[in-house]
Formats: sequence, C-alpha cells, structure tokens
Amino acid sequence: MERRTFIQAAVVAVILLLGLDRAVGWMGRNAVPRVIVRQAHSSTAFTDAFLGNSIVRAGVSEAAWSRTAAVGKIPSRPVNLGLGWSTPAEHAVLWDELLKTGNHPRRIFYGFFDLQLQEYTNSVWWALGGNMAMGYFVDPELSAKYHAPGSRLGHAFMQAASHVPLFTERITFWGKVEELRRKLAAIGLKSAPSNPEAKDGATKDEFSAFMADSSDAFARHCENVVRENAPFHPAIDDIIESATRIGCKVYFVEIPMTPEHRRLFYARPAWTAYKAWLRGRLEVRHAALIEAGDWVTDPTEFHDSLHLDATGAARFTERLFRETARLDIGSVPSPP
Amino acid sequence: MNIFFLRLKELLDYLNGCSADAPVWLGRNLPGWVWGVWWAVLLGVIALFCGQSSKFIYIDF
Repeated sequence: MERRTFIQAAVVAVILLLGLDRAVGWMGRNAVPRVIVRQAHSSTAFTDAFLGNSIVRAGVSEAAWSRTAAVGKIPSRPVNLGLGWSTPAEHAVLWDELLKTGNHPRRIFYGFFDLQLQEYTNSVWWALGGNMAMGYFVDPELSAKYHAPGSRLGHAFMQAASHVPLFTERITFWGKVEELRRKLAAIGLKSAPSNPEAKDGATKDEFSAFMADSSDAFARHCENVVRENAPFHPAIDDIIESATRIGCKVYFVEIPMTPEHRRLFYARPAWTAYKAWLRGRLEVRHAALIEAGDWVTDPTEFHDSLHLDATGAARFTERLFRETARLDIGSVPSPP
Repeated sequence: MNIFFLRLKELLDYLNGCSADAPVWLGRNLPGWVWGVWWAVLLGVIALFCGQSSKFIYIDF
C-alpha cells in the first residue's frame, strides 16, 4: 500500500471512529447512572436518601415511603439512588451529587447484604464497566480517589476517559449485543426466568453468583472480618463522615433476603456475631444498624435469589419508614 | 460456483493484506477512503463484540 493511500485510509478510519464515538455517547445519554444523577439533581428538598446497589434499587419503593409518611402526616421526600452493579465508590459519588445540588437530607439509608460493607471489588481503574463506568463521567476526580488511590496515572486516565464515550459507554452496546445473543441462543428453547428489572434479561442463576460459595465459607468470612476488625470501604467512611457533618442520621439497613438465603447464610451464629460487631462499629461513628433481613418472609415477594419484587419492596419500605420514624421522631404512623 | 469462490478468496486475500494487488477482475486497487471505511468497520465490529469476554453482563438495574 502506498504511503499516500495509507494516510488517506487512516484519516477516514479515524473520522468514522470519532463519529461512532459520538453516536455511542448519544446512545448512552439515558444510561442508568445518568438518569439517577439527574434524579439527584432534580430537587433540593429530598429528606431521605437511599443508597446501595440493585437490592436497594429494587427493594425500596419511593411511593410506599411517601404513602406511609402521608398517613403519619410526617413531611418526607425520598430519593432512591440505588444503582445496580455498583460499589460503595459509586454510592459515595451519588451521595456527593445529591449534596452538591444543595440537598441536606435528614436521613440516609445505606442498604447492604452479606459482607458487602467490608468487601472490595476487583475493579480496576482502567476497566470500570457497567454502571461502575459512571466513575469516568460523573465525578472522575472523586471516583479516582476510590478506584485509583495514590495513582497519578489512574487519576489522569479517569479524567481523560470521560471524553471517550466509546470506552465509558461500552456496556451500553455490549448489553444490546448480549440481548441479541441470548435471544438467538433461546430460539427453540423454553425461556429461562429473567428479571424484568435487568433489561438484558439477567437470569436467576447469574444473580446467585453474587453469593458465597457455601454456608461454611460465608461463616468463615464473617469470622475473619470480625477477628481482623476489617475496615469499611473508604467510600463508606466518607459517606458516614459527610452525612454526620451536616447533621444527617445514617442508617445501615440489612436488606431483606429470601428465606432460603437466610436459612443458608444468616442462620449461622457467625452472621449474628458479625452484626453485633457491625453495630458496635457503626455506633462509634454515630450511625445505626437496622436488622431487616427477615422482614419479608414470603418467598413469592422476591423476584429472584436477591431482589425484592414490587410487593415485597412496598412491604419492606413501609415497615422501614415506621421503624425509623419511631427511632427518629417518636411518632409511629399506623399501617395503612 | 467455483469462480465465485475463487473471486471471493482473491478479494479476501486482498482485503486482509495477503495480497498487495487487487484482483484483476476488480480493475484497480481500492482508493484510500475505501480502506478507511473497511478498517473502521472492522474496528467497530471488534469494539461491538469484545464485550463477550466480560464474565457477567447485566446493565440496567
């Protein structure tokens, strides 16, 4: 190939790839993290903020919360910032976005399950994917603090990546390819149960991959955390610190799990010991633990092995409101 | 049919760089801009499908 032809080809390829990059940016304009950030920016009057991953997104019903508050004539405006496939780093960024808008919530509820508060994901700053990719485009500076601590290269990369949607939004089109692949793979087969909340049709089996390998392994993990007095993820520390600084009450909420999950994992004495240890750790930080793991007992009120369905979410949220109203205000709205 | 496959092979050899010269039946070497489009298509397809190596893809929750 002649040098001139090569240069022409390279220029055309670069131009087309830049066009593709812009197109992907447009496709990702309504990506879930962006929608949630817009939600955080939509008002300055939120009183109760919910943070966590998909178990919070699916398990907290803003409508049920508002309804219960109205019954008790308690002014309240909730915002559910739960974000699927996310880590405390993303939760800290979303919390920061809420505060930047001028909100001063009275209470923050951080939902968790298992040992999530002490776990570190194996995400790396050069390959944040899915909703975690919001680390590149919402507040790269703050995200780099958690995903690339002490790495100047990591900080620079995360800042620069925010200008390349083809990279930051890659899961947007990977998800569509995955959807297509699953549709093709399912031709002629009985359809697998899927979660409508997960738009690419993640199956029940995939969610179970988030759980411990065995009950014994989970118990050992609990014991290790307590014995080693394991620290919180730094983002959790920051959320507690910034919330208490503005006089916001911080609750860590053990999100309801299925009876099967509780039988396998939460019935172990190690889990009870872990929660006692956790309560102590939180109280030192002026935060509180709400043990709601068994508040939803009907297995049909779960969508899959992890997430509450709409009925379960409403039941859990109403009770959460009543229990915390009792703690915070002393008045308890009657069940509707 | 044989001619079709022979021509296809010649074209693919040219496009993937095995052969420096265009097949005779094509008339002339492709201009630079066509190569540019071809490379962009290849890179786009790679970008589109390399997510398959991701262990777990579920996005919108």
